[in-house]
Amino acid sequence: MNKIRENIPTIIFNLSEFIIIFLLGIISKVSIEEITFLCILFTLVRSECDKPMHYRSPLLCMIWSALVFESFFLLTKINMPIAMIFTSFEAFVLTKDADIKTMFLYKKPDNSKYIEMKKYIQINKDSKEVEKFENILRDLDKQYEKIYKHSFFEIYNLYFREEKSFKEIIEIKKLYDNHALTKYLDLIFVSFNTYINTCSNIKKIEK
Amino acid sequence: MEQLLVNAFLGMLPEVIFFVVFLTTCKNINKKRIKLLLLNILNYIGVGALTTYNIYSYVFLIIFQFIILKILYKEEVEYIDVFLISISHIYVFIIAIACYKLINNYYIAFIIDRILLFLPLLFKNKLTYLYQQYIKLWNRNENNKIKSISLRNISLIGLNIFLFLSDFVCTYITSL
Repeated sequence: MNKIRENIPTIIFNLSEFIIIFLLGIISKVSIEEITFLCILFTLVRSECDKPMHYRSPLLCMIWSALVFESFFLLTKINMPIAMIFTSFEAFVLTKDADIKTMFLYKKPDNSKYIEMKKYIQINKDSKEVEKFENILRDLDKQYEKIYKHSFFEIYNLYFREEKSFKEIIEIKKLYDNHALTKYLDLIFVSFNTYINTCSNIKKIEK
Repeated sequence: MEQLLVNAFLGMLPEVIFFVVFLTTCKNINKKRIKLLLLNILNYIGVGALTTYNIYSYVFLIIFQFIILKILYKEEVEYIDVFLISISHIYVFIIAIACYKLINNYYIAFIIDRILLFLPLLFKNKLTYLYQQYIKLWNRNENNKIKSISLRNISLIGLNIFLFLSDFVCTYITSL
């Protein structure tokens, strides 16, 4: 019941978006069957593909959806088979499956800052400092579980201890992309450096 | 027979050469150009044999050009290249309409159209640069000025408008 209550704004937004697209189709003199068929085809293709792309702003989403569907309704003036082919293709283009995958075109994630931390943790796996830091991460998880969906400790474990690649971690934790992962890694990196600096300062003071 | 040869050498061949040079320049590819040219010539002949001058000729040209690129260059060709092929067709389409509409004399319009066809190829470095920028903005990146999804939306709306207009023009020309 709580889930339904949380999703009410999304449902209202999607319904109003569909109504606007429907009205646009009627104004463009497209038949109701064609409008419905293209909407269903577009939604089905995007849902079958991996990670459809969305706008964060509902207003932008509505405007662009209206423009895109209006362009599909233009294709129905040519004929329906062409409208269907290009609607399917363009629904696919608006998902992560249509991303450019060629290695040399990707900007490599800047993980040079993590390499030093990785080496330190590999060398000092069983040290007290690393164990204390891992407890700090577990505490952070408990404190911020409502704000951060994913566990800092699990991501730390996967990347720094098990040395999994970005791609593997994204698949395991079902993150959106590299940027979502680097957000967590940056926080872990800053926490670790703060912790190590604090430890070294305490040792200096004690001496 | 004479008209067929004239159509082939002055009509089809310059366009095929333009498409091959445009695509290989943008993608910065230096290999298998002759194979690409020959396959595109076969593509043009095949599409011309299968269809009359209508929207299906454009659709089949774009689809088969993409398939030819994918077969020859495999992993170097991505879905974004469908829009690159469409942009080249849009350019050919626009200059043809502009020349034949603005210039009364058919032969002068034809010569100017063929000359303007190769104009973008004088700016090879700019073409490669523009394509690199297009690729950069295609994948999601928070540092981009234009959102990836906005760029994709603009690309597909542009393609749809081109298809609609080309159908309109094809119908108008065949009705003359």
